[in-house]
Amino acid sequence: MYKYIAKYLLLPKVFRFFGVVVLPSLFTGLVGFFICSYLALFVLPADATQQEIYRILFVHVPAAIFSELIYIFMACCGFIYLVWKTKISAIMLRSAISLGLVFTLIVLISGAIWGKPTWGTYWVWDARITSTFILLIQYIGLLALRTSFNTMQTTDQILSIVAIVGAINIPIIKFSVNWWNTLHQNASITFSGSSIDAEMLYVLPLMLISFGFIAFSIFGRNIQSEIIIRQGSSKKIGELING
Amino acid sequence: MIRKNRLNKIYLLGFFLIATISIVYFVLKALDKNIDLYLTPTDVIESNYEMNNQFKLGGMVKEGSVKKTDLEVEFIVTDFNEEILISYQGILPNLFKENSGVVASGSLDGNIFKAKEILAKHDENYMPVKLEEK
Repeated sequence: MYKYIAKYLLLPKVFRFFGVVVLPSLFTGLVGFFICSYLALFVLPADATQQEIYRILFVHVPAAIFSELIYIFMACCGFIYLVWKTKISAIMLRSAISLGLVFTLIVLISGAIWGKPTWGTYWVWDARITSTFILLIQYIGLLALRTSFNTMQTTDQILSIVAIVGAINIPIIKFSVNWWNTLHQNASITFSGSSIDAEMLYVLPLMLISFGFIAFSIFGRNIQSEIIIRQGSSKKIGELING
Repeated sequence: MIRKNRLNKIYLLGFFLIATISIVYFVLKALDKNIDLYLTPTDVIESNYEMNNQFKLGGMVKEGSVKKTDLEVEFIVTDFNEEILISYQGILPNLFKENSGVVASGSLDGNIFKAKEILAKHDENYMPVKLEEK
């Protein structure tokens, strides 16, 4: 099975794939984002307790989901890289770092903006917020590690190990609201259903998908530049760059 | 088939992961109560009001207990088990209301909690304004 997948993960093929896919994906994502923003800001009704401010949920929640998913993805890439030594998974790991960092920043900033009018404070050292802040530091750390070693191979190995170990923070973020007394409320959407009214809920998955498309296009460009850094001098990639 | 040296690597990583998970687990277990953002009225009463430091007290605002005079507010916070009277001078957050969550930071003065800051804690339910009026 490994051989069948490996055939599609040759670097020139990946490079060409993202060359085709990046712009349409970005376009779809942006269109979706603007439609969803319009729906969230003007069409949806105000919330009974939080009035208008709850609308920031449609940025806050997708960004939170992606900040955690991207980290899990990076840890998986690191694991695959360490076991199978596949270059592409190290490239994917590196390409996802900056993306995850941006999403974590969006979560923390939108959360602060949301916190002031509802809770009465921008920032409080509550378990959810602190563990998310640690996630931000982890991303910054990975970003710094990227350029801290002499050879690509050592860097990739260190990045993989750090990503795998740091993944422990993800369940802590997820369950922090259940394990401890926190100011942050519990999850609205669980396996047993959603406590967001259906009239408002439908925008959330649409927004999630739009975020996904935008993230995917940036991820693709990161992968392309990472491939150029590694193999820019090779003939095949060179031909692709010059058209 | 996975080659043997790869299998060994998977075992090594698995061992590594289990080791770190258990370290983090025991650290968090040791810190358990310190991670809590606030204490509940039950915690405070179980300790016989012996708290001389600043701490945070959280729970629900008891229905019909809020008394406002100019800037001073008095209300009872409850965890549906024990209750404590809180007095506070200052501006309340928008979402402060009866039967809703609250986290107050301050210190005990006898059996009364003198709050310096009050934060509102809201729940995870979202519903349109009109639906609630019905």
